[in-house]
Amino acid sequence: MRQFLGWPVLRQVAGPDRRGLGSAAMSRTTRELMPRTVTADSVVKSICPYCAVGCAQNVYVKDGAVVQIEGDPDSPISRGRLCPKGSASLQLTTGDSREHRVLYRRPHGTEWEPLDLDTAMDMVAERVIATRRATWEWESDGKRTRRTMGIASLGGATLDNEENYLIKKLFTALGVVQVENQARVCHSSTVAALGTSFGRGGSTTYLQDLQRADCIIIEGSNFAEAHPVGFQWVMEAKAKGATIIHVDPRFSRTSALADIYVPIRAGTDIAWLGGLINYVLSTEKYFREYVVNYTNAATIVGEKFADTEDLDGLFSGLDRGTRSYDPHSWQYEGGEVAAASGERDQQYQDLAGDGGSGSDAGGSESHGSGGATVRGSWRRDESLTDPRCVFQILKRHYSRYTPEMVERICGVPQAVFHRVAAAITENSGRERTTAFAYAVGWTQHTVGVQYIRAASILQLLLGNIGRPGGGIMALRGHASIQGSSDIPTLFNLLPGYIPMPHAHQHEDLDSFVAADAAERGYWANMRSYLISLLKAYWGGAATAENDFCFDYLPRLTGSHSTYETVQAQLDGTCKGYFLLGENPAVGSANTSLQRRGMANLDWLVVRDFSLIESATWWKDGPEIATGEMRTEDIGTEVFFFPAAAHTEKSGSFTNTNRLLQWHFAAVEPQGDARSDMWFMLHLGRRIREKLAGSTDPADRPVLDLTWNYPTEGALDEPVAESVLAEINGWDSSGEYLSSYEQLKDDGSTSCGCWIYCGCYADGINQPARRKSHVLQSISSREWGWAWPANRRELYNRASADPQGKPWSQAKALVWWDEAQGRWVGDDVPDFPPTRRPDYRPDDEASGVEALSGIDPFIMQADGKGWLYAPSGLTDGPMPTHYEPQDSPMRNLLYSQQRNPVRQVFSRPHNRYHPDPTEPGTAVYPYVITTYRLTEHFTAGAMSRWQPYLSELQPEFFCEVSPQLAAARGLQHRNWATIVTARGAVEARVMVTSRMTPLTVDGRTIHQIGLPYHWGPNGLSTGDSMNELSAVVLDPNVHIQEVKALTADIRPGRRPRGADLPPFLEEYRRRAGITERTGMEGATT
Amino acid sequence: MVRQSSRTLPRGLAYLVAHGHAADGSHAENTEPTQHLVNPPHHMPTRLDVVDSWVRLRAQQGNPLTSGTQPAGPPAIDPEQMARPAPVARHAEGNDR
Repeated sequence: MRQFLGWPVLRQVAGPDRRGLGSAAMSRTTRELMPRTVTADSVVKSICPYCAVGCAQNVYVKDGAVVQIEGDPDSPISRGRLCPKGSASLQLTTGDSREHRVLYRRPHGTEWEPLDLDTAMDMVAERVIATRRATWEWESDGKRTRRTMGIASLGGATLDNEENYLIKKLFTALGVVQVENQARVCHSSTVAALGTSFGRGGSTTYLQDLQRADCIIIEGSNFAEAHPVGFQWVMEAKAKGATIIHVDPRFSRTSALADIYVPIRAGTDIAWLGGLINYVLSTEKYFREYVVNYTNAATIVGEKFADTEDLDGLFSGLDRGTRSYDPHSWQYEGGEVAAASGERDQQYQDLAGDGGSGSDAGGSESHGSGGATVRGSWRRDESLTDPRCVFQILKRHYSRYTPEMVERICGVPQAVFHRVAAAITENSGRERTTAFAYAVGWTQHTVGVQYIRAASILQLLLGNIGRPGGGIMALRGHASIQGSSDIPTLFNLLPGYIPMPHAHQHEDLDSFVAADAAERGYWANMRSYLISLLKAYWGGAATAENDFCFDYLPRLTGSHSTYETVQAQLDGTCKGYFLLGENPAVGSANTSLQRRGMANLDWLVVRDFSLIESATWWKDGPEIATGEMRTEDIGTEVFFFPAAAHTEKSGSFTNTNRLLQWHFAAVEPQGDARSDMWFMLHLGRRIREKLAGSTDPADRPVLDLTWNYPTEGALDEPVAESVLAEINGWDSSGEYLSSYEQLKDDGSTSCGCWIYCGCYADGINQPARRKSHVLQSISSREWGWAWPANRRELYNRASADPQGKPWSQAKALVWWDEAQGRWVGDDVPDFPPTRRPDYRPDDEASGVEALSGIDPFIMQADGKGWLYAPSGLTDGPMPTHYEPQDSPMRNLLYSQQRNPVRQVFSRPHNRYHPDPTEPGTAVYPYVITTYRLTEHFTAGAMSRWQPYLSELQPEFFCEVSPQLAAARGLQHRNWATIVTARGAVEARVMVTSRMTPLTVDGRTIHQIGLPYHWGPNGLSTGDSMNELSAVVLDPNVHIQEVKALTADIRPGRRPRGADLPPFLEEYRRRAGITERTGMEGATT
Repeated sequence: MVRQSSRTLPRGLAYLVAHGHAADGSHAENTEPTQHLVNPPHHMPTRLDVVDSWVRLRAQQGNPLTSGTQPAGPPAIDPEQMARPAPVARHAEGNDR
């Protein structure tokens, strides 16, 4: 009877659904369906581990297992959305492609062997101790170094801040200086460029603020596809009427959604941006009141300075022998150059023989939260007419960057140039603001820092920094790549952008501080920041009597970046290597060089989810296939440790706009999988136990290290909040600090990273705050915690005029409230809170007191935004167009073809292409540019093993225009082989009008688009783009040039096995390539 | 069948028509948290006693006036004192800590 009454037709007749369109037609099975989220036991708050947008996730747990991951609708950034990768993160964390057991490859072994976790940890601890002993170095060239060059590490940038903190702390105590992470190869240019321009190396604005822009220029980024959820804020702006402009060599979804698309030749953005700067200056469309008061436009430069206009592409101060600039002549008149600005260590280790270049070993990155140092007193001409004022120098420097020249260099028609120039100038000023957004399309060049500097100059001239809807959005590509710079696993930095000391100039704490601290602004307090860090590292052992253990810090003697580490591996001086969530065999430039370096190690530790290419190259790498290496001949001992996923550990990520967000462990990791925090804590514990009782002074920093973190659970996982608390800091009574202004230089405060001070204020985990965006204003300051001091818009003092009033009501953000006697508004004021706008310091004032009421850039030594950088960078005070290392075009602006101080490495497997004036240049005639896809993630370790993502993007491909396809006989979906002097790869051909041939100085230039995610392992396999790229670096930050190179392309698959090396050799022979090709420095 | 589909207003669209904004809670005019869409209790701790006590101990050890000279060997790690009794699974219990 019950079954009879359940018939649909009776339900239809008897029930309310007479038309049978709703409940009457629904079966019981359908009625009983419910989402997995409903039956979950709990939902744990988390953050997506892929790109740096920082989308919030809800992790649903049932019966101790993760059953679903969804977007958290409360997030002010993502509003519940997840991109394909974020949506596939359930598969990332619970999929069956993850390894859960430790594996071991003995020297010369041909297969993996199982190894228990305890034994493996013990073996690694013993390897570290033995290698450290064997390679210990007290001195180098008579200067104290207290270090080992025998061990190195390279980490990913999806590690938590707390993990990075322990990595840097332990390795520093061990004397390991070659500590690096993905931030080096991804956004190190950002830190140096934004740091020298504004005083801090992070994005000046935040994603939600983009909705307030009247115009957005996206350049060097495919925002819509690489940061899809963040792109919603661009669309919000567009919906409100903003003009969206996309400048890129390749038409993409970002271009499709833009109002203006500008195709450009890869590697020419400085010429393009220089053209816009020239337009703004020559048409007098700059924001004069902003420029005069808030920038260094009026400051007078010393008379010894000579520009590229005087020296045909070179600045004054070039030492052709060492291939480095002496920046003294770039200084303000009356100013003194400081050691931090570029000559901290000119004794660069010349790895390239006679072709090597000079470098300051990454000193430029130390301006990540403290601008470059200038001292003395200088003169200003606020009429901006003095021929030696910055404004006039800038005007002259860019005067030849005309629309005609832009067209000849970049291939951008003049009409398009004028449309863009009109859009940005009409949308800047008191009532309107323009924002810039960029990513690694700008950072990864031999002039990557200067690309970003050019945009910084333009935004300062237009008055767009520190204002709502303005700013420069640095789109970082990894969950915590900003955090990996803030709490750095970088060779040249300590937490909070305090520079690592150099052996050659800094003997003790006082001389170090004297050389690096500023006289004015907040960086003048650097001594307090450093001593508080030393207290966090060494606790009671750090006393005033022993310089707070400053001597425990190992010293630098040059650049020890990841690319120099590879050279050291090839040379046999680096013997042990940790890869902590990084896959250089796919993701770093010249992957063959990376593998050859690893083949020369004594031991290698790889921690990852799956058996990535950097773990298995010894048995199935390309060099094994060609016969250039034999597995049996490789002596490297390899340990593989499975890593815990973000759902299996607690910690914080710092997203692309400096926002710390906490993710909570939802479940325990399975098998041998552990967090990197666990790995470092217990590795350190074992090393300390083995060294207990040692009287060797080299071991004191390890034994004195504060390393007693509380642990929890059956696995003894460190309590992540305790590490965050140490990062935040406390005073001598154990009270949590709430601001870096509380830090003292007498040893009474402890703080692991001064710019993060306040993130655990009052004992509250501030990054864990989750107040819904619908209950807050746009800035959503009760969601997570942003450095510094929970500010969302940096330099926001500049959102008000010199008198402290908003430039306009439409663009009000922070202003002076006379009644309250303080700065107020919808953000934490980025200024001394009660400093009046009419305050002017006397001549004797120093430190923070020296900041006047119209100095919005409080980390800068002069309080101003820098149109011209008198110090801080190694390749010039202003951006200048140079051609990329590999280019089919000669430099049309100067005789100087390439950046004269770029870093080059002459190695047999790292050959460069001929100069365009040489006959062999026609052998590699096409321009390559590279990019990320929505469905894959960097070197593929977190996407090529996921079935969903692999199905969405199953194969490596190349994008070519119909014209190039016709010229070279390439057919859609068939194979093509792309060849450089370094390697050859095969890819499926995609013939598409998204690639546009450009007319450049009367020539047709074809460009090829290559995504870079693939490698031979995983579910979705293919050749690695980085087989093609060379190691050639920006001299400021040692980042590689992989966004513009040249190649040949031909139909068909590449030669296989032993046929490949002679194929490459034949190409090099035809091009006339030798060990000297492309190695020149100054040519004028 | 096709005709039926075209006549059936999807629930999400119906909600949108009736309320003027989407049902996913993303509309800016909402005035309450959207967490009501999630049925299980969620976990959002803000303070840990074990960290507070550990910080006090660290501050005491870090003060040369009270700790005296630094011990020659590594500071002892006392798991009983330091370990937080709650396992990670406690994160999933929905209790504020």
